[in-house]
Amino acid sequence: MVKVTRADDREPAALLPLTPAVLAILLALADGEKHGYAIMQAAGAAGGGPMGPGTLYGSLDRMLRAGLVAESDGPGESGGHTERRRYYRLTDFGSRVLRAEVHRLEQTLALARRKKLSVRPGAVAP
Amino acid sequence: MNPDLSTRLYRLGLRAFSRDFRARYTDELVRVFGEARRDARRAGSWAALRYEARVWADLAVSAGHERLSSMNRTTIVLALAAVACGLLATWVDFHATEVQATLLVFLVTSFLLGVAGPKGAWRWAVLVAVWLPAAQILAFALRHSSPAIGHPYWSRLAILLPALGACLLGAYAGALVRLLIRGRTGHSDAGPTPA
Repeated sequence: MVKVTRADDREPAALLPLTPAVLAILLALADGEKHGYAIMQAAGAAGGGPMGPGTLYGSLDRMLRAGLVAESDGPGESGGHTERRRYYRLTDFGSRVLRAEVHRLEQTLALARRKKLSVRPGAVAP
Repeated sequence: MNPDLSTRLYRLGLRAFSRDFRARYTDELVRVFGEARRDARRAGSWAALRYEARVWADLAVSAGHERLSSMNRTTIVLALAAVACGLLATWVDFHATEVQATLLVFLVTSFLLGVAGPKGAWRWAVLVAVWLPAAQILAFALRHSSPAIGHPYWSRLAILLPALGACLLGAYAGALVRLLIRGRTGHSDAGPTPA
């Protein structure tokens, strides 16, 4: 049984900056609950690079403890799998942490733009 | 690689994670491993090979991370102390003229570590013992020591056996003493038996 930290009273900023794996998982879950392999695929498609099963479940375990994600029932699966998959969803606290991290990244990006460091899509970074 | 063999090997590799973690996630990890491998095989044998290599590297890194984060502070301190004791024994061995001095360091430091952390005392023994043969092999490879009798590397690796024996003896003697002390303390804590 995973011991979950009570997250409601905590400031999201206390958890920032997020690791690339945690950010990719939160982004993957932002549009709804998913099972492990779907999270892995979404994280890879988001441009964070391929994520291995060990990194995925190691991160999910820590995120469950921190109250960023929670297990959910998921949609009923019709056949194909003898055992039910585990589904994960964002918690309210997880959503707040994700928004805070996106805000932090936007500020960083704005600073980079002011310094004329941003790279246009398709251009090769120096 | 044969999918069944690959899955069996991966399942075996999951033993690198802590028992608690395995109890919670083994089925999920194996399922996701199988699904991702199936998709990688569809993309060709080169993609499948790259996937296998990436998954094993991922397992090594994530299991190490998980083990470290599941350790409590006492365990980390004891592990670091064991490494320091092993390096001390190595230094003594390279400077002393008699082997008894090294053995004494092995026995005493492992005993103390066994007293401090009786649970899984073999871990301290291993962490203390491995450095001497490793240093001997390194010293020979760098031409800092004279050739040994017999095979130059195997004879030095064989030092691990007496080193590990002495460390295991010391660590488990320490663990036994700790358990005896705990047992006696437990009796005194219980207070006098009513008449």
